[in-house]
Amino acid sequence: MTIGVDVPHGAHGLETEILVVGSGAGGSVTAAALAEAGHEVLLLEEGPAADTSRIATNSTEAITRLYRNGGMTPILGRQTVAFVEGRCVGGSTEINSGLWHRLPDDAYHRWRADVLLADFSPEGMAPYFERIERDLSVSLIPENQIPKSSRLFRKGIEHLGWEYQQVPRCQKNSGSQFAPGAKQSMQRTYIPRALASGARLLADAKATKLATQGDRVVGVHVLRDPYGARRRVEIRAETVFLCGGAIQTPALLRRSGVKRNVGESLRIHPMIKAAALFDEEVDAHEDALPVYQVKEFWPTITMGGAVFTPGFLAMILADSWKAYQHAMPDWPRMGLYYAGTRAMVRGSVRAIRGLDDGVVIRYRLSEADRENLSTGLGLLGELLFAAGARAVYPSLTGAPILRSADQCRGLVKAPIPLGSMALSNVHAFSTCPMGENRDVCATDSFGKVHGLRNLYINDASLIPDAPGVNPQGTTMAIAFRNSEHFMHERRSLPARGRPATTARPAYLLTGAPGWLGTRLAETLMQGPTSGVLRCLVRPSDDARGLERLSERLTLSPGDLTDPPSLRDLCRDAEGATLFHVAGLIHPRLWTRDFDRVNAEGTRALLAAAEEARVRRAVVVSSNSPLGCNPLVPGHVFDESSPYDPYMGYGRSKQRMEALVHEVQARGRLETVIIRPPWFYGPHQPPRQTLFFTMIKDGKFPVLGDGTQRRSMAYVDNICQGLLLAAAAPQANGETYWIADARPYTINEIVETVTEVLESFGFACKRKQMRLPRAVGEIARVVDGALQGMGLYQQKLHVLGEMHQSIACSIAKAERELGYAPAVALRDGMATSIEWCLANGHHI
Amino acid sequence: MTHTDPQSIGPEGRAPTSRPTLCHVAARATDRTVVAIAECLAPDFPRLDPATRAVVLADVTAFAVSQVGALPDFLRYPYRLALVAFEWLAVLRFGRRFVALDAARQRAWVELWTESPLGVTRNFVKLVRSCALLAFYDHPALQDALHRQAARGAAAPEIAPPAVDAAVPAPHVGAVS
Repeated sequence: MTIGVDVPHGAHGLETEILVVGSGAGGSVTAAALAEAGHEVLLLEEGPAADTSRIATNSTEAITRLYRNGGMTPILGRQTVAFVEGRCVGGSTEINSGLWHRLPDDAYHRWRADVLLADFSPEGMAPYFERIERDLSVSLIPENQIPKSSRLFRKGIEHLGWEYQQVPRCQKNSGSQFAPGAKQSMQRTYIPRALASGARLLADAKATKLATQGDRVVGVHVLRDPYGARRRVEIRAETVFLCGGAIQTPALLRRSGVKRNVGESLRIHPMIKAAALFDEEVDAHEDALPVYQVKEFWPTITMGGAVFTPGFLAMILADSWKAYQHAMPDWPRMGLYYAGTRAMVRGSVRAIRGLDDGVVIRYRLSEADRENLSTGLGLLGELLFAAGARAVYPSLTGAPILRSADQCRGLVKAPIPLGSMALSNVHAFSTCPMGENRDVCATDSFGKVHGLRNLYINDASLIPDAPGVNPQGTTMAIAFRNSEHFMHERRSLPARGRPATTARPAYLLTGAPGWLGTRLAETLMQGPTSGVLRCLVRPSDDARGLERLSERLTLSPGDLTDPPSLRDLCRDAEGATLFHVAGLIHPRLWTRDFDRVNAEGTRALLAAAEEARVRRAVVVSSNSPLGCNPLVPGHVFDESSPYDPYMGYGRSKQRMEALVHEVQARGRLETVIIRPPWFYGPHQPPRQTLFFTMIKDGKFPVLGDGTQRRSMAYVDNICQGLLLAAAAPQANGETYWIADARPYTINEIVETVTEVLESFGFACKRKQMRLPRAVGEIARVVDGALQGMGLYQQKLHVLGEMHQSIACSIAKAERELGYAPAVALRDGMATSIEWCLANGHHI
Repeated sequence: MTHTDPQSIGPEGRAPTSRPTLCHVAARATDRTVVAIAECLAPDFPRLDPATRAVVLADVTAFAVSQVGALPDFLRYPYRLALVAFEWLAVLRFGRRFVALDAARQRAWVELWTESPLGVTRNFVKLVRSCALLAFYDHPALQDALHRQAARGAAAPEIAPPAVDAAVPAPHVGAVS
């Protein structure tokens, strides 16, 4: 194994375009995909660059050199579980059995529902699995090479009539199946490919902390420990991919202060083992790789064969050594097997302050897990006796030798105490789940860490829950998918400083590919105009849908908080119309972000537009600067209503409107302010889909009697208003409310959505969660107190508004602009739900 | 089997730095205790000639020492403290430190901890036992002996089965599947 790079003595670090931390299944695929596409990649590995083709996978040498903590990493809880993972170039793929599973179909649906994972389907992932399966030579062992221990196992399964499968493996089918180097680990496949494409590899280098500036990662602090001469260096990178696995990735993030939904939801597949004694010689030591798994009880319980050496047998017998040691001389007639379960609860990963390698893993197995493990062991024993076993030695403290199937059935009836089980685990995932549900996910649907613009995760920690199968295949396929998504973003976005397009734009747009922004872009591109539309797109946004809209649409990379990128957006845009739709409604945590984006971002954007001699800016505000309607029956806001901003968001939008008025007063740029209330329609974010789900499930909180009114705005109606505001000369300097024709009561909204959902075949609960108005009032007070401390909590904030009326009049827009909303609530909601169903949103 | 000499691994499972610190010295002292425990726990089956057994035991104990050194920090420090306690509590019973006892008394002391009603003492021994058994039975010299034994056929068992199934703790180290 060639080490591609070292840190020269005296140097403090290295620089690269893309840094990939971790060289296991996720990291190697990421490095290869990016390097082969021409990116400059540095692959960092904490462990040594030991050539694993020269080390027997299950030898004590391998355990010492290739395993983290010598294979003795504990998962703490009601019963300690021994966790085994690799710590070497190639990661756990160098020490595992190379089992290959595709992600089961049920997981796609579950993940789309649970974490709102976008763009993730069996059809979409199949090409990635197929490509990796070719690269890793995934194949089944021919019948004549199936190990004897596995044939006995199959005999037992078939005797009982259970469902089973032969599991394919990543292996070259030449010569001995089990020769060192036959397994197609990362050292045999993707790492050489990455290096051949110019990637560099730095082994013996542990990433200890991320270096951040604002919302960007600028590098990684690294501890070099090759020959005992510890050195701390920094590697600076434009983009960082964390691929250290489900334990090390969250530990690094937490050490670096990135904690939201990180390390909170560990899932594992704990297993318990047993040795079986047969009458005939099994010679399991000659057959390193057992091949069958029982699927009869999957996903709750899986059973299969375990790797056998006399040493591993002794370790299993060591659990009751005094009673079991007499079995050692019979080792040629013994085989090792396991029963595993998809554990039910969620564990945690925590970094210990001050210790670079201090990681505490906790997983408190539930009673259900205990019963499943106990049942699994009982069923395994029954199977082994059906296969002809004379005795079974379970990996239990103080347990008797099992001498009959009846005895095994007893384990199913009376579950074993957790304390006597010797458990191990080789699969860990879900510590940084991906998806659009920000309440539980650490990253978006493509591994980009929430809140950081250039930090990605691409390893098993993204997997939203326990899939019930070996996760290597899923991890690799997801890593490929996410790498391609990243590259697509890069390709579609020109580098900073270059003009986004040579064509002079007729329209500029911020806020795409967001909800309203995308719909407006569609409207502009489908309309009769032929002008070019230039969209400001954040580097982290998925802009593929936008790109496909029209050849007249171009993308300009940037962000409202990045003034140079706003000047790029407005370059050569003299006479153009700017639609400023972007805004921050729900910040991650801090209310200060409202002002940073909504007010200061608008100030910088309008300054750039003035400088570029843009003709008119149509700026989208909100109902929030005016707060909620007073308790006057039938009251509606109009354009003359006084400001009474609601919380931090309302204040930031009020400031934004004031800045627009200032620009208007300078006379260099025409401005129009549009105030849409709560909008709905296609391209909606997951929070709006959640609104549908809550109504369907009867969990939408209706505060009070539900007669409070809400103006709502279907996105096409808003687009109509925006285009009219852009075109009408008399709109210059004006403010307009744009909404549906009339306000609706909460009861009406809920009833309409329920009926529409039912028309789509959903079974809806007719009764919603009815709460007193005081609940909303309490939420408002607590929200106010939190925001006073600078903190924002989305659900609390939304609940605090739910008992209020927010209704407006669109009379001025109708009168002056000729605005005539074409879509009303029922049709708009139907279109929204149809869009959700067509785009994989699970209601 | 290619084991690394525990001295070259260093006291905490890592390569040594140029100057030994108090921590290194303390770690080496506890390593001697680990070596003695591992020797006590090495099985008698299969029978080996004394020279081969000495070579095997050297590798087994080196492996056990390296495994203790490889424990994560938050476990290794408490484990070394427990080793110190194990070493010196023997004085109360036998009047001498554990490493200074003869083999029979060492076995008795280890047995006492193994059979203790306290889970923490059972787990303490279990860690070294599982490492020792793994390294012992996967040692190339042992594998040769095992294969010779297997080739002889089903010889009379060299370990008598127990009269009853007794309770012995399970190790908290895992094998790989």
